[in-house]
Amino acid sequence: MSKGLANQNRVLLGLVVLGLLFFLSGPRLPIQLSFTFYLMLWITMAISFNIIYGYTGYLPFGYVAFYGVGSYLTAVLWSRLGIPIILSIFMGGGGGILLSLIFAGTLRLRGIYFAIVNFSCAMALRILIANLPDKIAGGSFGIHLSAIYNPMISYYVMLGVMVLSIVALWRVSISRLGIALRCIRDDAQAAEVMGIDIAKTRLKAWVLSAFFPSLAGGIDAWFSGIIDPASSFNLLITTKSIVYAMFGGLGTITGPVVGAIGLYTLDYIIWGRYPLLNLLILGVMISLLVLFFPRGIIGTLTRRYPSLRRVIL
Amino acid sequence: MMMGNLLFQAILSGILLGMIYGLIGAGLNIIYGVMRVVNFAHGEFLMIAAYMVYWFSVLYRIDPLSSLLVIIPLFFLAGMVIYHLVVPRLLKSEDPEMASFLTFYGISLVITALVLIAWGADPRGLRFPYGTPSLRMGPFYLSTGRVIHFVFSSITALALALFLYRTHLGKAIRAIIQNRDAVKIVGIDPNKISSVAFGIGLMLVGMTGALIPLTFPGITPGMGASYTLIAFVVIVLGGLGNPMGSVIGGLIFGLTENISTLFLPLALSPVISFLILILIIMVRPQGFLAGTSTGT
Amino acid sequence: MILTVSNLTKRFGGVVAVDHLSFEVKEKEILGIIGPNGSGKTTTLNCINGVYRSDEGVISFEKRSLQGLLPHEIAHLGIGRTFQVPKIFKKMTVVENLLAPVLDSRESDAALRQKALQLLEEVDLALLKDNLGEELSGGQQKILELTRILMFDPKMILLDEPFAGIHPLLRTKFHEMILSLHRKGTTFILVSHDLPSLYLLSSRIIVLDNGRKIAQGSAKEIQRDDAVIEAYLGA
Repeated sequence: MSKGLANQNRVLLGLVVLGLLFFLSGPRLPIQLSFTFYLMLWITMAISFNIIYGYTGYLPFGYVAFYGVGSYLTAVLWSRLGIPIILSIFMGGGGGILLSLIFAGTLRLRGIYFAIVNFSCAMALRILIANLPDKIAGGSFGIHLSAIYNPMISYYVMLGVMVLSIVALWRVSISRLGIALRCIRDDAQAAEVMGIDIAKTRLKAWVLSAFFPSLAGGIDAWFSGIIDPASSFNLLITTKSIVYAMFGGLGTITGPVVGAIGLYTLDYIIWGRYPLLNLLILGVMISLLVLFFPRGIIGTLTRRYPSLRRVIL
Repeated sequence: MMMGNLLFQAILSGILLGMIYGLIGAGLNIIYGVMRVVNFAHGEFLMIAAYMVYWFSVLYRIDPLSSLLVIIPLFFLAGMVIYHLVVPRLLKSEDPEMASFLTFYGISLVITALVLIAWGADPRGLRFPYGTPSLRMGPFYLSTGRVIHFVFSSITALALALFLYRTHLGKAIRAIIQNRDAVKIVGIDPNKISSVAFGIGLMLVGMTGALIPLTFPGITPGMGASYTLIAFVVIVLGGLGNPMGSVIGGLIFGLTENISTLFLPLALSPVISFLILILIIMVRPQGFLAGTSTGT
Repeated sequence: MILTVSNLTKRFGGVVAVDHLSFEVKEKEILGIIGPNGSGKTTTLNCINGVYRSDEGVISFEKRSLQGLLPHEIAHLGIGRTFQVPKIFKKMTVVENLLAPVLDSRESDAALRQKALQLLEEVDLALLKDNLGEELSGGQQKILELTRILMFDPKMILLDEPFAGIHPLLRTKFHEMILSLHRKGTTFILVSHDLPSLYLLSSRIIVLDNGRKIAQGSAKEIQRDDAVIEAYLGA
């Protein structure tokens, strides 16, 4: 291994260790716990969004559905059936996987149609859940989880899930599935002719990308103590996942992390002082990103300095 | 019988609204058909027109129909400007459809945010300026506003049809929808025509937006989203790239929506829209009417 | 017969690209297909490969119908394919390109990598193993495309204009590659405009024009065939 490569690897490792230390000591830091918690949540969302959009080019414009289903399943299982919260969260994750399998048929649609259908499914789901009998899902007022409120433990569970999502993406990208995904992204027809089953590969990425946001939704329900249809199925959750992942750089691992850290921090600061500006900035960012900066930070960096590609993944 | 009356009322409503929906869809369809641009901000442009009409009425006491004199040229020009600013860049990207989808989604957020910041979230209502707000037809009540809007939309739809099928420019637009590259051979410049088409698309949505306060009370910054959805359902129903088909798609959708309110709670009616959209895309994405005589 | 094509027909709108074409390929032979532009050569390959679905006709490989099979399933049956413009993965490394066809294999990553490196050595591309596909020259890309197929030990390889736009030295190298694979038992269908190469390599040639077979035979026979001469010089 060349000296330059070894140094770059060391830097990356150092950054990872620093990051871990930062998050591990979250509750002790003089920063609001909710900031660090949601930072981890958005890293998780951006990372797993990247699995489907960055690696297959399919834009699930209803991505929030996984988060919403996870949060609702968790809340309902815990509050109506008395299932312990951590198990409920896990089952919420399972619910997300189930949802992705149910809608697996939409993967055969062309890009734009997939986006529209996915969006419609999410919105329909939100209305249906909001109109379920109050006994089951709490109607438009939602469900309280205040009895089990425990910011400390839920924080660390989120940390665990975030690390898991990053490791999952890393393992996938160096695995055969990752190679297959990148081949399909590079030249789908060539991939097919080489024996790669495009439909099955896409499905694997799709199901994997559904797991983590569902978990995140459940953990968020626990951390914040309350859920309702409007916030659990808020379209801005999809929007932010798109923007954070794109800004950082799709198709890489570091990209979504960098994007989420940078933009969520910005979001937090601005929202604190100028709440209405958030929507405006998000809108401007999406348009500008798509038009002028589609590769994001990491993508542009690796273009300028191709040797970074080996390290940055 | 009660049911029969309700049903007839629903059908009437469906037709009135359907024509309006159809025109919303026609604008989106022309934009998509000519340059494969998915204008996700379509409803927001409608919302701007509605707000403009509101302020004209409140500040200058100008009624909606008169406001059209300003709105029509304004939106047409705005359409051409937006085209030149945004679309050539979009067409260069790897996937223009997805790029336009996201770009215009961003624009929709920007518009909504600006309106929220400028005028707040409270709904605005227009006082009905044309005499009695409702007409009576035997046992049925019709909202005068809807009738006016319907009549106006029908005239516009007719004008649109004449334009697309009888004028040189209109035929050029239809030709581009069919095959953008082929028209270059006949000496048509797709770029110039596209900007005009974009202008027309926006003009149509502006016209509908201007009269929307007559049909649906309550103007809010968030109202755009439901109209964008309607536009999508309508064009998918009527056939992508088939502007006149949108009119029929609009009527079908208007009828379905209104008749379903007889059987479903009101809160669930958007679900119908979504279900229609999902079903048609899964089964026949080019639309119901694609390939038929009104289609291309 | 390893491959039988009967009555293959493929239409695009009003154009009949392949018109009731029938031919057979003997096991371990090199079959050449020639014909003027637009005669349906590439379309035929695309139909065999599963890239296009044929409108009529039956294609069977090792007595098994390829009807309705997807391209990746056909690849798994042992049919490889190259394209006129090499379809390598531009943003992936040379080694990754070679791994693409064998991702489903039960063999270990290490074993597959070793096989890949060995194949790269044989074609003098080993030094470029970590370079991206797009960093290779046109000729190197063509070699890479063919080498990639060898990873899954194909029974039959479809070559579409392999000699287009490569310089004479490389062409000779290609000849050697094809002949050496042929000796080891691979069947080839070779579509080309490069008549000298075709005459050199193929045992049998069929000639297409307007989607139909107008002649078949050995190189010598084809060269003298009137219909062939007319098809190339006429129209």
